Amino acid sequence: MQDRNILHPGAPLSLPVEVSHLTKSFGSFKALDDVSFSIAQGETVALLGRNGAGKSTLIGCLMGFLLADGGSIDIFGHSIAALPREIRARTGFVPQTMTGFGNFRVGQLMDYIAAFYGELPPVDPALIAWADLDPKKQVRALSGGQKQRLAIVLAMRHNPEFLVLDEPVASLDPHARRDFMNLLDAYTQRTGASILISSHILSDLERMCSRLLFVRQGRVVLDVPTGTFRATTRWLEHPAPAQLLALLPPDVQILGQRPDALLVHGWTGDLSLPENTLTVVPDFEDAFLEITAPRTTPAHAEGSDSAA
Amino acid sequence: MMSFLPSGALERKDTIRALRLYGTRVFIVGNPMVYTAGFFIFLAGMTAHDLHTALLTQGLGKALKHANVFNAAIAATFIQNCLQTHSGNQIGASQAPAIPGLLHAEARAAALTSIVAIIALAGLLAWSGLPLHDTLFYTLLNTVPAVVQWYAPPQQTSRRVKGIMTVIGVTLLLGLVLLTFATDFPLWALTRPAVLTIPADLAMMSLLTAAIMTLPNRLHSPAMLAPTDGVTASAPEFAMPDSAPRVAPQDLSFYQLRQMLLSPASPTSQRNDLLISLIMPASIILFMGSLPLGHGSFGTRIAHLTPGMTILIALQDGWISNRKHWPLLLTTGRFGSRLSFVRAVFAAKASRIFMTAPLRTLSLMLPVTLFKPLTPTHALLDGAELLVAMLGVTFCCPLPFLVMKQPPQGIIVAASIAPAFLLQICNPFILGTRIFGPIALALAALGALCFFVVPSRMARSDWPYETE
Repeated sequence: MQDRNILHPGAPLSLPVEVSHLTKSFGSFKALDDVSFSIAQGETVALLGRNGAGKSTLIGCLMGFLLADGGSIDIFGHSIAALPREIRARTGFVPQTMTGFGNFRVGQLMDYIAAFYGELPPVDPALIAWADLDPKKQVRALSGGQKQRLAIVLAMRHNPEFLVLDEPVASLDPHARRDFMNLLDAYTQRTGASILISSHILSDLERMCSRLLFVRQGRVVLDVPTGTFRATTRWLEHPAPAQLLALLPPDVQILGQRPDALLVHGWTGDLSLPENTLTVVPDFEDAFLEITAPRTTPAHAEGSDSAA
Repeated sequence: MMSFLPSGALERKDTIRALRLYGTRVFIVGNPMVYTAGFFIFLAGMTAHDLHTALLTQGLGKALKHANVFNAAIAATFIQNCLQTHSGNQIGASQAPAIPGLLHAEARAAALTSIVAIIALAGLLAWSGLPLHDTLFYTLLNTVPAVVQWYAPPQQTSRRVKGIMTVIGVTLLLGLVLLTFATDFPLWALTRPAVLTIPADLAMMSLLTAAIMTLPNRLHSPAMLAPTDGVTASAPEFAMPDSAPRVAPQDLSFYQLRQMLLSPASPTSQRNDLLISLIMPASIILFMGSLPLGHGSFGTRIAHLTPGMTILIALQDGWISNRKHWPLLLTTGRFGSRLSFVRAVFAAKASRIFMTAPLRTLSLMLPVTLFKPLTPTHALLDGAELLVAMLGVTFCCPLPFLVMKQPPQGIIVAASIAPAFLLQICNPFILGTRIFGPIALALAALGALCFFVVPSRMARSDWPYETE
């Protein structure tokens, strides 16, 4: 792996994130079920799923806010259960909504939080320009969108190598959202940082993420590079899609089924299918809806949880 | 649990940084209890001065009859409330666990400040000439409610743990209330031998410190961070039939619908309100009077308890300070314009207080009238004055809106809790009927002024919306 760690050149090259067989329950409700994946340096991974699929629980476990029932999470080679301070300082977190700190002024809070990271380089002027916050304004007096900008600044001020964003743009206006996505893109290009981002703005995720992690009912149902997803995910439209099942090789994963079509991943185009079969490139949102739709029983065609 | 004292240079720096916040306006902003605590610290200082003077010529028992040392107890509670609000702002922040060292630093700073404040308050009382170990013992005993609050279980913790913690908390609080109201508690606490109080002081300080240091674990426990994107954290306890609607409208009486304007979360039914008002003050006084804790006859003990119990009839529901539900209820259109809405809120409060206050007053006055005993004329006069004063102070809560267009939330909260304390320290049993009568009438006049003038001013002011 090429050392692109510009932020901490001497730091050992452990994977930013390695999650293995993670499980987490709340009472009898299984929020995460045998989740495994890793994130390499410089990767921007989209965490996709419906409300309640387990995204926030996964993020909570990753950041060490929630205690896993089973499995392991390593951040830069260290178990999340006992994350040293210097490793924690290499991470950043943007919550869905910023709460607390209302008694500070904006500038005061930025200085206060920055001090916990020790000596920091000057703040990125692009980040400050984007946030466009009055440093003298009281945090409690900020609007929801302004608070979210502040949360983003607080999370990125110390140039984290691994940044987790839990629906960071939900309360931002389209200008701020687009500018932030560009800022994030530039940040990863410049620093080689790894990102895990959860959002329901699918167009943003498809555009900027190098990998897609689909979560459904607490399980990772598809973990795939974005380019591969675009190239090999197709609707196979046929009046009787069940007939196609027998013709598909085992390495083609069936992601969903409609009365007149199958959504498949791993499609290479060199298979012989009945003449009346149409191959259609799926719209990303349609694919999301199909992949993440809840299932009462496991889909018959889901051979594996992870394709990547 | 992390260690109380910082172990390394980095942790020391973090803690000092967190401690410095207590000297800035960050500590005061959004922390209205600071003013109340300051007021009661001032009163505690006055009490210490009175005690100092009285102890030159008389014993502690007599001196305590003329000095309200209870002010120091209230100050101790409010100091802890201030610290909880301040540290909770940082420790409870959504990003706090992701910031290295912040949770530990804030908890340490809160624990240190808490201990220093208690020692300072005890020192203030000791200025009167009482031994420091005794004043510390008295102050620490009165931080029990605060310790219970610091230890409050997370809302979504298991039922068993929550139940155990609630029982412990209620037992501690009840014990303190019984001690405070039913005995010569201050005299007892302030005259204990050092061999008892010093170990007890150390134990109570350790308990308080432990409560504060474990706060981050509770505020950021897994239960508190349960999924927020649309799923319940635990399975429902009973199966809901498929035919049942997922959101079932609850049948509310007209009275409850009206009371939603005051407290939307749990509108009380009229029957419960009446029963509680009629039964609660008398039951508590009779129960506490029957305990073999105080001195004198049953009647004497009841007479001793009655002044303190006036707080029971003056309990408010935060009807003016808690206005976050106003915009939502206004949009229902049920209450008409903004002015009609505010008037409806005032009318709801009036309907409740005019119904419950006479019952609470009756419930408070009956035991003391029968067992002290009081002459019927005397009892009627005391009761009537108390009732008039209570009705008045209820509508004095919105006083800040009379003098300011957009009063800060801190002042509104302070004005909302002030009536209970005002009636606590100023009632016919303490001031005497001759002095209290004009005060009651003045409060009623001020309340009436607020009732008629404030709604139009509040209708023209901003309501809580979006920001904290």
